[in-house]
Amino acid sequence: MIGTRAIGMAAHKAGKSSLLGQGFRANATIGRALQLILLNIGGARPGEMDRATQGSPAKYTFCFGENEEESPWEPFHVRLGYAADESVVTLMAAEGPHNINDHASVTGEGPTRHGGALARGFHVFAALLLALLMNRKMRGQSVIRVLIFVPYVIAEVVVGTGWSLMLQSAGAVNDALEKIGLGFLANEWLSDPDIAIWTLMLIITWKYIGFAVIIFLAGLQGIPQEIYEAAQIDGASYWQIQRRITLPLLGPTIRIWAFLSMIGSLQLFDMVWILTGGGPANATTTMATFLVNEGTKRQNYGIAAAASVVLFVIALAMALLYQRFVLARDVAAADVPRGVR
Amino acid sequence: MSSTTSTVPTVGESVSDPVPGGGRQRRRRRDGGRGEGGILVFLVALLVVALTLGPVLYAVLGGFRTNAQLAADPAGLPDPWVFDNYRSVLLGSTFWTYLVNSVAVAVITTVVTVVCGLMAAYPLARYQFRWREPLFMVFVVGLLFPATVAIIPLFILVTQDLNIGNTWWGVALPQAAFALPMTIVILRPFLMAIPHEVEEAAMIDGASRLQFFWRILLPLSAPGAVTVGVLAFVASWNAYLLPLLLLRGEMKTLPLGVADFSSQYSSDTAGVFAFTTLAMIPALIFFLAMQKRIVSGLQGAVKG
Repeated sequence: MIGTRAIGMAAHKAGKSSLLGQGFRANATIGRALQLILLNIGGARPGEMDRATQGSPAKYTFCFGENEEESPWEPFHVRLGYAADESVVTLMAAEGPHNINDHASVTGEGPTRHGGALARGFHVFAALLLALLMNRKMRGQSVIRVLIFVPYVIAEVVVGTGWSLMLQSAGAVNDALEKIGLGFLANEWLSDPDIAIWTLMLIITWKYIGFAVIIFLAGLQGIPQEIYEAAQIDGASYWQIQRRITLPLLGPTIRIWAFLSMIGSLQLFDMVWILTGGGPANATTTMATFLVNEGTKRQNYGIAAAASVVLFVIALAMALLYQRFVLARDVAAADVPRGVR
Repeated sequence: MSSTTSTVPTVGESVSDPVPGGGRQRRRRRDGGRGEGGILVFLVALLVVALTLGPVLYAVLGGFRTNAQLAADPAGLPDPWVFDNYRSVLLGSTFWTYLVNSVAVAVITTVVTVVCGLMAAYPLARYQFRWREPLFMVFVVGLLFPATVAIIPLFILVTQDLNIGNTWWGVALPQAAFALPMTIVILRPFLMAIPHEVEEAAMIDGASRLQFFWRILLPLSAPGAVTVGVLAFVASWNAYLLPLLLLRGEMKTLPLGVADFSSQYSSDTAGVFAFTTLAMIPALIFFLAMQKRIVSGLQGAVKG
């Protein structure tokens, strides 16, 4: 709802100032958004899934004029055999010219989706182990818990800047690997398209794991002690207890965290923007960097607005699922009005 | 289960001490089935801490080295220690300009968030009216829409409709708006937890509902207000995307400053480390002072 209204306003504004150029109309933008959804989520790629109307990248009509003075090629109508000074309108019914943005948008969706899923899986697993670790009694426990939380508080930009310096090919990470005899692991961490996305995920895990640990610890402390005692009396080992008792009882916490990090990775921007700018070769482009890139650098406000609608729709779908399956239960439990009834 | 059953008081309870130590009572509870940590566990924990803090410390130390040192031995220690990098950043004017902007934006955001959040959470928690729960759900769902989703329309709205593009308020107002869902979701249980008897007593003594709000509810919900305030402050302090689109030149905040500095002086690695470290320090000090609140706020938020 937020998105649609804002888009409408944006489009209205654009109409007045002709900010957006061709294809700025609200319905064209929405059509474009729908199409991006169909292409990226529905998999309705032209010529594959769908040979009908949805397949065309130019599903709605548009009109464009040639800037003959600037163009290095001869005008289209001259190529078609008309005289140069003749006024010609060409009607095209074929698939419109592929725009480079369409390709970017296709790849733009990929890493967000994969990155989200992978980051989530890795995150949850590592954070769970850490939380179990932190939950054991040890010397300096409280200090350790605070320290592991430090990266979360530092701004993503600051973290990103620091890491990008350390991950240069002649940077600290490669040098340190060299020194401890793991030189073969040294890599072009951020400029190799195959590795960049993994590097990014590791850094994001590094930054947000403290948050996950804190949340899991809170969940762990809510598990009644009696259950553990009963299990111990029955002769269960430490790992059996974690597997059979902690994990199931921590379920709601894990689910909430999974959703939070899923939504979070969908909106990933700061770190990516600083570390790689979405590159190399779009390997780390996320929805957010894509739309900011379109909106600010290329002045493609229409595309950017469409991308934000897409992002909104995905987030809304997730939110509804979240609300339906997780939050409804937890909110219902947490919100029993005390003394208000 | 665990977090679901922990209802309203949990927020207040966890305010007391989620991170350090734990109260005596909680400690006793924890003793049993979770196992004593052996030396191995301790070592693993130390390794984790090293991995966590290593990069941060490296940036700090990197600021004390020269570029030549950094190039010759990227992973080494400062030898000799050089203070020029930090000195030049601190004596330059840009760092302080950015700092002032960051503080101003964060303070405005925090104040607006806390004031509006309290005022919205009060009726949602303690008034009975028809669309109360759906209205609250709107805020809960809003939790899932950070500014990123609407960033481009927001940009056009702020710069062209409201004409507050390059100002503190232009950044602070949207930030406060997007911080409100979290604020209300945390504050509502707080306000609900205040016993009905208190309200009745106040009413019998002749207090109006607004007087009850000002005189009783506000002081009682202070811990909650501080928690949400800290969260809003940290979020604003670290924000990058919205300031990136809205702020120019002299108005930039620290994260923007860091990004600018690192691209402008990309060959001056040591200088960038120094600037980055200095930009980190205010957030770290704030965190260490407020860590209980931040952590409990986050826990409270997730628990609903």
